[in-house]
Amino acid sequence: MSPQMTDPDFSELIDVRYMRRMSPLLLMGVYSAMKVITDTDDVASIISGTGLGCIKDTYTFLTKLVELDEQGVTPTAFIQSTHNTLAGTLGILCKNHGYNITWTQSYYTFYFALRDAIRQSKLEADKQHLLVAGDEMTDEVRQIIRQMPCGDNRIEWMPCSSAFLLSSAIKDDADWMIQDSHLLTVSQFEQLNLKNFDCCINANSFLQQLLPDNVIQFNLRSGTHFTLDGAALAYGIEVANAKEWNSFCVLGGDQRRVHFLTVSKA
Amino acid sequence: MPDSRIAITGIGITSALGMNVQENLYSLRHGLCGIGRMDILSSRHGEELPVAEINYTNQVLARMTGLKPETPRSVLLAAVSIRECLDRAKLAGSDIEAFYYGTTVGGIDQSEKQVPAYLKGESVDYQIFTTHDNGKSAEILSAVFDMNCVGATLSTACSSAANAILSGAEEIKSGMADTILVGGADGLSLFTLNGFNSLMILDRKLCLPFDAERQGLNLGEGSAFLILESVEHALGRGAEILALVSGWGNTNDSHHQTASSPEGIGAGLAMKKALAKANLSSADISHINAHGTATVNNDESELNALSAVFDIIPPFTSTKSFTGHTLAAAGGLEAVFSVLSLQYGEMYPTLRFQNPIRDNICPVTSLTYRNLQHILSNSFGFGGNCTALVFSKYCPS
Amino acid sequence: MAITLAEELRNKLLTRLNIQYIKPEEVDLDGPIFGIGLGLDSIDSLELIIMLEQEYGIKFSNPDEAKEVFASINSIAKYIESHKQNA
Repeated sequence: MSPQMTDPDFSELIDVRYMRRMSPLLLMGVYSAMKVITDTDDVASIISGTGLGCIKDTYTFLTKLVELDEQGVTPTAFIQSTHNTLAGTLGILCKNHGYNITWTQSYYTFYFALRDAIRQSKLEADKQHLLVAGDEMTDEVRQIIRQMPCGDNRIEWMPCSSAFLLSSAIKDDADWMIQDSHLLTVSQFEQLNLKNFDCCINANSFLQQLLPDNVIQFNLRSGTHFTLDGAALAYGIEVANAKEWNSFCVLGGDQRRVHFLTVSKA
Repeated sequence: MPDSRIAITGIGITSALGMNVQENLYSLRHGLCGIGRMDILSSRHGEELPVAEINYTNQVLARMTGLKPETPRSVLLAAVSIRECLDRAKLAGSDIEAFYYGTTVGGIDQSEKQVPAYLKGESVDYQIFTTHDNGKSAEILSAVFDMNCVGATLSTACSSAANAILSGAEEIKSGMADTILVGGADGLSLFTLNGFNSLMILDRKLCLPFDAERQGLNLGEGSAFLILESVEHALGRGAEILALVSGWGNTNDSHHQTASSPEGIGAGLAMKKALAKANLSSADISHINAHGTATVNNDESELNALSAVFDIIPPFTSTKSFTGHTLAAAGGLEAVFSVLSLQYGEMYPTLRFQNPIRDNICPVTSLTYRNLQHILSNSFGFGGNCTALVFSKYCPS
Repeated sequence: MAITLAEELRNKLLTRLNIQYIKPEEVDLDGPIFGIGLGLDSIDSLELIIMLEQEYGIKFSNPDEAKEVFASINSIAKYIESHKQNA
């Protein structure tokens, strides 16, 4: 049985005329972005991160290529296979001519995208910077991953997306601040005291054994994917607001490096 | 006061022009075009589509690099030029503190070989798919070269390597790392060959950048890397400074996923950003290595952007007339060519140019010697991604 | 009533391009479909070129050739008819 996820009504925030060609990643990513942007004029840069990009379109194009023996393949699936399609689409929809970059580094994707967004927010301090991360999944690709000898098969691979507006000038309506974001070795991670935080949210499915019981195992609820730590950050902010925490941390990465992200009340 | 200007202290390159800097330089100087028959990649379009292919099989590249033959072709090519780059910079892989890598193909060339068996339900080597995702390439390379860092991959289509250089430059400027390896690689694949063919932007003959008769681009493959460090750091270790990265700018055209705006808005803004970063006026630019893919859309759009930014467009060229369009690697190849132009005071021609698009605006058409101070290099990718870099001659301050 | 070529084309086009937000009968067969009207773009043009080749045996060597033909659904239908007669 395939794991299920319920999509929101994307047409609430995306013009239906644009939706027809959008891959699941684009629908999720644009929807997430439109939820956080109030004024497109205020967005100076758009930074995105995706581990696998529009993998559904990549799969379609590769299989059609073989089925049709390189004849009559159509361009739509190819175009969305360049990983910066989400950032490019947001650039068009927001009529934004600013800095526009896409990072793709497996489980460290969100770490590098966040790092770049923080850097841009320091370079243009009086503006807001849009950070969007996401990954899609299909039944066929999930089946392939299950048979790959790469280790992360304990948890189902599931789609996810997240979006944030960052600014280094404190805004009145900002609730949360990024304190730190590091890639640690596992032995560096083991030295940390997670009890310093109101909560720890884990999006690294290689770390479960090492964590105390009060950690929220986000990946067990949401499934895993390369950019799950982005979704875990968004989830963390929601829960932190509801439970009135002062600080929390998010764990991403894999068995070699842990993305240790700390967040505190603004 | 420490000299924080950004120095280039190592370069490495593979392309259809050659497997190292010397071979590429020789081909550029002697007008030897790398575009021709498809010999290594096996495609039903093999007879009809000229490509700028590197004439080594993956087996041979594997022997050259010590990697497995099933390694993605882009990674094999990258390994060759990273080796050259480190050797020229007199550095070990363990000296590298940050690594920015641009690719669009990643491991797709290996994944696509498994698809026929996969579709028939026959035996598939699922291990191969572990190299599919773009990030895996940098992971393999940073391990192979024992780098002191985790690689970070940018994927912005045809501006990827240029953005890797931009990111490296910003990193040096912010003082976050002393020695950074930047660049990109893309090997030919059925995926990209058929993808671009489906967009109907491939020329069935040798491409004609900036020519009124142009019909589209020729795909190429290659890899190119540079070492970036501050001038202070470079001088401190006695490194030879080849050139400077003095300006950079990235913008979004915000027009269409695959076509540039007719006015080249994003391109113009990127060039202006790069000039501003370099503290230069447009009149200071000696030479432009254009994106110049030879598509009907790009060359018209880019010329319009150049006309908007420059009162008098300086001598410009498209070296894609030699190397074909190497996609993610293009910005890296053209950065290395810009360094060579600055070092030797040479501008390389746009091969086969005959008919200006308008107003008698013509690119450089023969090897030209000139004392060059500042070179602008453009790379534009799908998704409206526009990046401009400024490379400058190094003069001790 | 038998479906006309233009109506058949319209239905195939809407399916191929995944246009679900408009009912087939609401599409003006004489109206512009690129830019305004259905708001199709250059990527859709390439999809239609492939569709015409696969479904009706019509070949275009480049997108510019197809531009005039793609003025409206009726103009595409007329082109297919005339091509069939000349075949």
